[in-house]
Amino acid sequence: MTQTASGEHQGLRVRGACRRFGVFVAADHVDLRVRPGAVHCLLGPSGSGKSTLLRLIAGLESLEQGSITIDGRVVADAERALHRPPEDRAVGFVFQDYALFPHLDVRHNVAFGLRRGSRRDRHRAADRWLERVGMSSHATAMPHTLSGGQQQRVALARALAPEPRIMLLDEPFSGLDDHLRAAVRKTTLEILRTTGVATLLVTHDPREALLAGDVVSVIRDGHIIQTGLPSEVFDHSATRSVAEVFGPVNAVEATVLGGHVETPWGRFAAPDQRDGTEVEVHIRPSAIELAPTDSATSPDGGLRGRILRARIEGALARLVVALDGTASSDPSTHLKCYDLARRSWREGDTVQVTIPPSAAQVRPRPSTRGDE
Amino acid sequence: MRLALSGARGPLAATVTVAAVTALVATPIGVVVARIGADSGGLWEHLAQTVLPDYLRNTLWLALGVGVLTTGIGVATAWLVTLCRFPGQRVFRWALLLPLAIPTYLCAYAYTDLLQFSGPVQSWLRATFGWTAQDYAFPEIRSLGGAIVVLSLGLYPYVFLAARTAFVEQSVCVLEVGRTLGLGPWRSFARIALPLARPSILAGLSLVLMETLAEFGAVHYFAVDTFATGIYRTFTLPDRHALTAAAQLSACLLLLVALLLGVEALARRTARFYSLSTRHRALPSWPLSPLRAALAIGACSLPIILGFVVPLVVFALKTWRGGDARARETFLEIGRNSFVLALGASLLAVLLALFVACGRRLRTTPITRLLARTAGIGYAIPGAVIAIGVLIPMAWLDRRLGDLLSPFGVSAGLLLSGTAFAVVYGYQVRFLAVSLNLLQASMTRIRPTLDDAARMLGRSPLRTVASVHLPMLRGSLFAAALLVFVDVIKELPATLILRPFDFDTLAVRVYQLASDERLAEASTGALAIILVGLIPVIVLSRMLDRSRPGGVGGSVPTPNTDNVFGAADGAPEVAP
Repeated sequence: MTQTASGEHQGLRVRGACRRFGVFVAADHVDLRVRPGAVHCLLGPSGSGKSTLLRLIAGLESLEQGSITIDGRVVADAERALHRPPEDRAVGFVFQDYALFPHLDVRHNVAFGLRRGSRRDRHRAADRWLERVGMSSHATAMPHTLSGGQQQRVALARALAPEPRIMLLDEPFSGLDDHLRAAVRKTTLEILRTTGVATLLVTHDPREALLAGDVVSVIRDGHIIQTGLPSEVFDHSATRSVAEVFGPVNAVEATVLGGHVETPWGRFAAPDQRDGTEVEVHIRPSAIELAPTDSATSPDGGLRGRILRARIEGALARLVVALDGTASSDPSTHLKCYDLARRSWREGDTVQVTIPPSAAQVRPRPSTRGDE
Repeated sequence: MRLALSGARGPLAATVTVAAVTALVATPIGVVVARIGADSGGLWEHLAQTVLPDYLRNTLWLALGVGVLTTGIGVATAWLVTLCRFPGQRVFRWALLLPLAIPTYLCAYAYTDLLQFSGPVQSWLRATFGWTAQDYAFPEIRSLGGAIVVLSLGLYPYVFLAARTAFVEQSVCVLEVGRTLGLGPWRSFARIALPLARPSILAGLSLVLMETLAEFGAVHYFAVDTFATGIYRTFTLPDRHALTAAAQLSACLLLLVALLLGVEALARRTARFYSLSTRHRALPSWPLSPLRAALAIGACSLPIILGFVVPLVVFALKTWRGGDARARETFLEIGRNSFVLALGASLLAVLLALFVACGRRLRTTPITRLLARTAGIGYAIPGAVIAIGVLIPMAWLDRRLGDLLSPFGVSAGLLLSGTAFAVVYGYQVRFLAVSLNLLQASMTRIRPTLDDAARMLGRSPLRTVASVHLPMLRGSLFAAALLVFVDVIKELPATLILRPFDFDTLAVRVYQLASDERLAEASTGALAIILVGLIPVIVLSRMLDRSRPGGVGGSVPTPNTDNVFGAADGAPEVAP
């Protein structure tokens, strides 16, 4: 990532953050930077330490190592035993359960974080935020009378009202129904981007991370494995475990010979590997192109295969193909593929299979170098 | 070290506050224990040789008898009203708690009046059958057996409450699995419901036994010498070592209490594991045939009639026929004493409990958890023991103050011991657990993310308490004050020992009049205590109704106690 001069001191900077709970490592030398106006998604399974990282940044947990800087101001530095309390960090937080105060109505919830100005000023400011999130008509409602989506919007307005420098969102959409989630996510991200706040959003949903994030970090066991643009992280996953976060992967082991590897699925270039290197070849199912065998557009180097299994999964069909020349009884040589469901593949059909060279990633085997 | 002082774990001041309150409560108990080896001028040795074996034997027999009887009554009635269907079952659900309103000493007075030789029952027998005293045998109520029955009638609601809560919280699925596997209602009770409820029942039973060990009024009146009465008697001995010997007796009693606390802690831990499922539906209820329904109604009414209606009617009749009319002014004055004392003590108990609950919340560490638990230990300690434990340091402080002031020609006298200060202190030790349990139960229902949210929105820990916790706890604060208030009104042994000279409360007055066989005069005070005692029973039964998962909300005693995020589940903790 390139850094602009203005972004140097603004937004959020985490350096070498470590935190353990007993033997459980929740944060393991985490480095992170979020620029103003950007939405940075932190993607990881539950227990990967993503929520702990948010709490460390918020000041709800204390660092054991490393430092955290918000807009150029160091708010936590383990070496100097510096720990600014949460209320002194100018951080907005949207909790997974929204954490609306049940004893206060919507307007008072939003005004809770506003400390300056007269009571009337604060209420007017709260109302402005309610308008921005489209909840003006519910200003006097009590939180328990609101739907999940409405509660989420109030929580967002409440967190934004004090105009924080950074926003932390902990699984903010996970409590919502599927059909509601997309709409709420869209409005939430629009509001966040227009305010120009640096946003760190935690999610366990890879699709959400790719959709919502300007930058995506994949975290596992308290450690960030890869950070990049959504397309980078998806197309050029640093490790197999990152790749598998986004769905199943076709993987096969091979040995480099003359700058190439031979696999049951064809020959792939391995320009950076020395001869004899043990490697693993990964092919993303969505990158594989399928065509009917009678298709006129049969590209060069095309392979033929037979469909073993076809399952429709919404707009896409999930297929398993056995290539000609491989033993169909050996599942390790089967290719997992996605194709449009409307092409209505059936089990037993023969297909033309094309694997673009860019679809294959050749990586050293974990046993030889160790998986990060 | 900023990290330690205001780190993410909350301010250190929170731990200090919790520790201070805990020290206040634990001091009298520590003082008693510390006196074990003190020189009692031979008094202890004398007691050990003469009365101690009697105390021990009576106390153990009493505990055994009450334990068996309360378990039988409590579990059977809880099962009937929770899982069977018969007319009046809904009424019995709360009515079975009514005997809680009657302190056991009042029950003892009422039955003595009713069943003694000159009482109405025996008089009626003699008149009806023309018998004389030699013609018939009638069980003596003022005996160990009588004490067991009277205590059981007053204390079984603790077991009832624990068992009922356990039955209500049992997953319906588990019971239905039993039925699909071919167990009938009775066998599924014996093989599934009862074993699952056992830890809870044990916890309720240990409460009963703690009350039994602490029991003073009834056994004293029945002249059954137990540890509790022994402590009081030793305290009143005209011996300058009396206080020390009383403390040593207290330490013996504490040993038994510690044993019970261990059992209770074990039972509660197991009870947590036994909570299997969070899925609840309307409980199944088995309709009973008319004959069985009649038996069930009888089984449920008997404890209520004997434990509540009979004593109430006795005192109501006596009040109606005269009562304390001759001493109306005394009654009003004493009533005011009780009211002021209870009000002050309950407000203080709520304030201290708030300190502990909030301190623990702001800084949740193993240390604050342990401290907070210790602060609630007083409820297990018999009132007589606490009184002795309060008196010893007070007397010591008085002497020091006297030494300090005597050079100035000022006679300090008894500044602390024998004042309202000592009584209120004693009440705090005994009843802080009541307010603390209730507040902590409510506090756990406030989700931790609300604290986090308040901090993120710029509130300091203390301001978080003021702007989030206090408003949400308002209803519980009131309920806690109410429960302590009623407990103070009913309290007898600690008040008897610690009260200022010539300062009577309702309970003390009733005790004195009853001891002088002037029960008619005592009846007005007794009735007043019973009526006040009804308040927490009503609160409790409503809480229990609300606590049923998936049940109808029911009416709420005070607003603001419950919120969207969880119904009250604190009913069993309120039990003491």
